[in-house]
Amino acid sequence: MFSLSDDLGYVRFDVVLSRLAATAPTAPTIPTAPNNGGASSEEREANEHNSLSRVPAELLEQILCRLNLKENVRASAVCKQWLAASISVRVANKPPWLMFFPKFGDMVEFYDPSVRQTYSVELPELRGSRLCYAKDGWLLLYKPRTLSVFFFNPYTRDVINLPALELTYQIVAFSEAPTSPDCLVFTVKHVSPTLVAISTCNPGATEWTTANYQNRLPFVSSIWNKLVFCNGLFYCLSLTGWLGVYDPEEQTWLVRVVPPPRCPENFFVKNWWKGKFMAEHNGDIYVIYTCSTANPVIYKLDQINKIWVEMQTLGGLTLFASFLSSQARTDILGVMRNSIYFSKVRFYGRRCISYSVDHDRYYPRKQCYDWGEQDPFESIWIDAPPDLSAFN
Amino acid sequence: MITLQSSDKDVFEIEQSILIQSGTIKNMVEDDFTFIPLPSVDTETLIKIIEYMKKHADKTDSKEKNIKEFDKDFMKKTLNELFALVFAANYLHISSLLELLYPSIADRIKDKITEAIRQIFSIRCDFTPEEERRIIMDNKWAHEGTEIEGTLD
Repeated sequence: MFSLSDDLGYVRFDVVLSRLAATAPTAPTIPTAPNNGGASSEEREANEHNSLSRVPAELLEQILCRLNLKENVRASAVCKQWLAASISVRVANKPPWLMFFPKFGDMVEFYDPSVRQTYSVELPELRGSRLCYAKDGWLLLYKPRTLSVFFFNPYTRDVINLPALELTYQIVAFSEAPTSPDCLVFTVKHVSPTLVAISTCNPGATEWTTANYQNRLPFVSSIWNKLVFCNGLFYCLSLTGWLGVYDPEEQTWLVRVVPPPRCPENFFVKNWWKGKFMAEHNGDIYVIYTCSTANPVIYKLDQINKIWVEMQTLGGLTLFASFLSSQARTDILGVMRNSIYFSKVRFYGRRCISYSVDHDRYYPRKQCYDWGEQDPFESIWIDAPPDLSAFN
Repeated sequence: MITLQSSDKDVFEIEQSILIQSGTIKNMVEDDFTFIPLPSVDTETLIKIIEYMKKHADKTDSKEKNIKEFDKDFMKKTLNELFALVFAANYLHISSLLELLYPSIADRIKDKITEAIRQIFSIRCDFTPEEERRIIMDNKWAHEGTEIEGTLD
């Protein structure tokens, strides 16, 4: 059942249709020109004309694989043979999945926004732990009872332990998958407005490295801060919108002289600082400010001019916002572009709540969404699994 | 010297050293064939193929730039001609020519909307109206604009 205004689950329908097309009688491999003995020029032209519409599948695929996603999609609507060929060479990214941390028991739910499908699996490894961060298909978790910090891949169920560290309510992030030798875990907390304590660790180390750093501009750290790793640096957005930057190679920390994103007046309501999200994409940093009484506002960091620029469009990008970490994608199908997908799924219609930058509205339309009031640890966007084998 | 015969029964005598750029012809030459009929390649297309192989046979360094210029001009053909060439180059296994033709043909499709592509290729849409509507609705964003844009060739 579907309606015109919905986002349709593209994958299933197109795949079904292309399978039908593939079993249809195939065109002959070489269109033999039946003009032996010299056909008239009109006949020959007619044959050439006809042969264009019977391109063998291999040739068609070789041509279509040179198209980008948009061109590929247009080509796929030409006819059944072209649909099959387009899909077989199509390169599209998968959107992340939304993982719901169990409140009771071990049952974890994963939601795929492109087909609005939910999968469940029991993960007792998560018992007693709290979500910290997600990136490259890995989760970082903390067990307050044992001070244990560890990486967990929810699909392969691999665990990579780190040395213990007492993490009070502070933000933690990591640079890349822990299977990479360059993976670094990072956490920062302020000691005073001009002094922070930064702890780093890489998988395999026996202890964390902690050092104090001074910052000229005041910086307050809390669980409400946001972290991303981008261009080799850890960017930390404070409560008040100031950007602290840690360079792990140079081991330097400074607060950028970039004024916080200009917050609309009506955003200063109760808990205004809570409803923020930060993501990075191809070296660009995006920050989303939300407010229960207004539409979200998206800013991109202009590193050259040292200001946050309000974005009226995302140029085809989709942002997936969750409290602890957010993601960005281009070239995805089944999910709207120039939109923000939030970490909440409405039970009715299994629809993920999203905001369209193009249309200035939420889907589904509602009076207001107070993202600051959400439980920060209940859900997180994580890379989709390579296949569904984890859920059988 | 090897003799090629087109589907129109025209014959062409070409040096073996030039023709071995075609994998198909190379195999036949190795099996000692000197007369090779090509029932799926018409004269017009065969002439162009021979022209291409002659130009590419002499690949000395000084000729590199020359060859690139030639290739660029060689692709300036109608879509009908390009397709005749791609069928022939596919049959004859001339991979360098195929690598030239694929992107050139793709370029003719790139900026066209779906209906324009159908017209260029004289393809009848075999989706039901419901199927077609669903395919387009699934990815509305890619089908922006309803007018047929640009020229057909």
